Amino acid sequence: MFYDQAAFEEIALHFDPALHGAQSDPCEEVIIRYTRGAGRFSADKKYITLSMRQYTLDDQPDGYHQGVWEAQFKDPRELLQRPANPVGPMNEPHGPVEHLAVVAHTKGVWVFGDGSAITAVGPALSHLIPLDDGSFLFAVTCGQIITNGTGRYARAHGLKTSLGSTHIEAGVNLFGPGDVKFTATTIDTFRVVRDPAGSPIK
Amino acid sequence: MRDFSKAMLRFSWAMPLLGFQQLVNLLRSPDQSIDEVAATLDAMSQVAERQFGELAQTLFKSGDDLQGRLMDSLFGGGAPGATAPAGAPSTCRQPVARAPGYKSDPLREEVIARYTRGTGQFSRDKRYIALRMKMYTLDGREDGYHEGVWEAQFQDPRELLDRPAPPEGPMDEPRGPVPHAAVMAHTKAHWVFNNQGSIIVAGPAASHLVPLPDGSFIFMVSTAQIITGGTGRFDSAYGLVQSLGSTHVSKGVNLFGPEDVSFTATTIDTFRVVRGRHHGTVPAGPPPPQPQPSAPPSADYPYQSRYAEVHGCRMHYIDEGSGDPILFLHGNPAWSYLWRNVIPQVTPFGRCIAPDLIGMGLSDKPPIEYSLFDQIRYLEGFIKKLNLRKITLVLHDWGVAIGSHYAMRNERNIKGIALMEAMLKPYASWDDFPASLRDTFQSFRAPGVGRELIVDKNVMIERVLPGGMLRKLSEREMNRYREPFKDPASRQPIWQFIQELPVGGSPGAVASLVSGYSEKLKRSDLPKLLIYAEPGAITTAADVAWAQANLKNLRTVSIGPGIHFHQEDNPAGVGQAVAEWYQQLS
Repeated sequence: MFYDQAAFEEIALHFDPALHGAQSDPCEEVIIRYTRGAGRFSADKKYITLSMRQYTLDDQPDGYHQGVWEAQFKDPRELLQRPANPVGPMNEPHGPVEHLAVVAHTKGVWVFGDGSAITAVGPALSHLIPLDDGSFLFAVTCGQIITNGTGRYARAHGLKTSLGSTHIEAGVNLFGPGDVKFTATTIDTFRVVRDPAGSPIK
Repeated sequence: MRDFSKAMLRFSWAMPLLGFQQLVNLLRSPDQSIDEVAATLDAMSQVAERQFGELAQTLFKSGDDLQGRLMDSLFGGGAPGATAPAGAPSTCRQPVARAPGYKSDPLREEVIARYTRGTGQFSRDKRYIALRMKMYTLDGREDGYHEGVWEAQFQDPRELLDRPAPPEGPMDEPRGPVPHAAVMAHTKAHWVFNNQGSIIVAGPAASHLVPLPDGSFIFMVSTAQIITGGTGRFDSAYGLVQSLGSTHVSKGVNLFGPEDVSFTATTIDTFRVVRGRHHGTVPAGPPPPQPQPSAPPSADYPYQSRYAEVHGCRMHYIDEGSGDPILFLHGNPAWSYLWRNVIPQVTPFGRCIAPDLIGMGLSDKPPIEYSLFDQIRYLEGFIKKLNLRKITLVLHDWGVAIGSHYAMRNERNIKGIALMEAMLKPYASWDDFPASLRDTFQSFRAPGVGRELIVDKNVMIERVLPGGMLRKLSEREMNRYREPFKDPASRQPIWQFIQELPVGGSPGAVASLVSGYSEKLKRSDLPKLLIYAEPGAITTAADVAWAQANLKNLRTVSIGPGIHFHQEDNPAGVGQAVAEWYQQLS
């Protein structure tokens, strides 16, 4: 570590452990974590499961993340494609807005260091990006809704995003036959409203 | 104020670590004076400076790339082989000998985080939101702007209060089930960085309205977006983006009301980018999806069974492919098994969903009458449960009545209607009823006779079903059709459908319902496809001519010889007709 942990904790005392960046209201809790770990395909290549360790932005272990990704495409080569630029104005409230197909559906749980957990589901896009040395970057982005939680997030409501990737060495066929495992990383951002007493959102 | 400003400046470099909005939170505190805020900031800054000192300040003053490198350190991304930034002490990187953090490829994958603040504006019809935002680096420096458009995919804003049930099944095994959460919106956006180019994206979004105890709300949007293009340093860039935004809606303000509402909003945006210079050769691209080649009808039903709880009952369905939903509704006597050889033709183009009507197939069999109105109530509950938007309906037999009734009352939620063997208007009398079926169905409606034939002797499955097609079903196929209707009690829905046929104005409610959607179909501009075979059973040549003369925006496709169950005689023909028509809709 290039910083002193005790000093960091002294700084942290001034703040809630959760990052409150870009809140629209004090009731809203904004949390950012990153995760690293292993991904594993099902034999039929339709599912990926992630088993990840979770870290705060200052690199402190903070629980774990698990999740499942379910492919919605027929041929992995579809992941190489990207759509054309959208047309029409970006700053006026009217269409057209392109309707991109959902490439995968996801579910996941994020268990924090104190045992509290957030569970979420949602659609995802996935993209396979060829790199200049013949390797690939496989990336996944999810827009998820929180379905439930435990501990301090019991009955919490909110949304979250997850942006993950894995680097695939040249010559490795991620979607080929065989039991392929890989390392992966995600950045996860949560907007959470905990269930306060008297809230109508039971 | 001078002390406050000085404290802000002194503290600014540490903001990426600690969060800019922490500062904002402090400023919002009503019981703190500006001097107290300044003192707090200053104290924290002194502590932080002792630990990060010149390193961090040097990095932040050296621009965006260097900020990224510091973020690498803060995120734990000390990548093997990464070089230390210019001016950074050598001790900067060496001690960070831990696994790479939030990047998979330290050399070519760029991770960028920004937050934005600004205003949102609804269109008058509340279908679109435009965001106009200033963009900031995490240390609070202004860095260009962000604009984007959000297009609602829901019909009633109250749906935004709902959230899906917790997912079932393991999280640590690569298998389902994985719920298919609804896409609540589609989005497009760009982020324009100060003098450094722009990133353009599109993608689906979740949206959620969270009520707070004081009567106010927080409206949130979470997007999953793909980079479609870029300019400047992001020219030819590839990658994905996540954006998580929110706005607080004060008590009494109706965000979705008729008035012209503007609101303040904020987003946190993260980008995984591979710039053009690192992009490799795209392997030979996949050919555009084509309908599957014709194959002999298969008895297999190779689909994962899914269930939706509707009005306290489980409705079975299959759900294959992705994109806007294409909803296949069967008729009588059938279940989603009917569509098994059609769906593979259409899945390359959309999300194919085939439910079993309540009481039929693998759906529950609650003790209800199974009137047409029961079936409509459950089907509409099913659509609501799955939050289906922009539906394309593919309808057969009684599925035509159920689906057309829904479509004509929810036209904004429909992309198009494909019809087969369709009751397009009520039958004025038995003389008007299809001749090939007249005697059979008259006997089915005869008191004391019909129930014995249908419920006790199961003639709809054993006789009418195989008689409604040219080919002979295999025993395995017949058994699949028999499975849901093994005992007399299970055949109540089949019998009830027969009683519901509107002939000579009876039953009156059904005749009225069919007249209603028939008249609306004539006026509707929705794209329509009528697939017919010769000679057909319900849809004969005369019915095709009536449709061509009366229905707007109609395409008719003949798939050759057939009677009633075209899905069994010519599944490839049905599937290809739907797929080709659907591609034009899209």
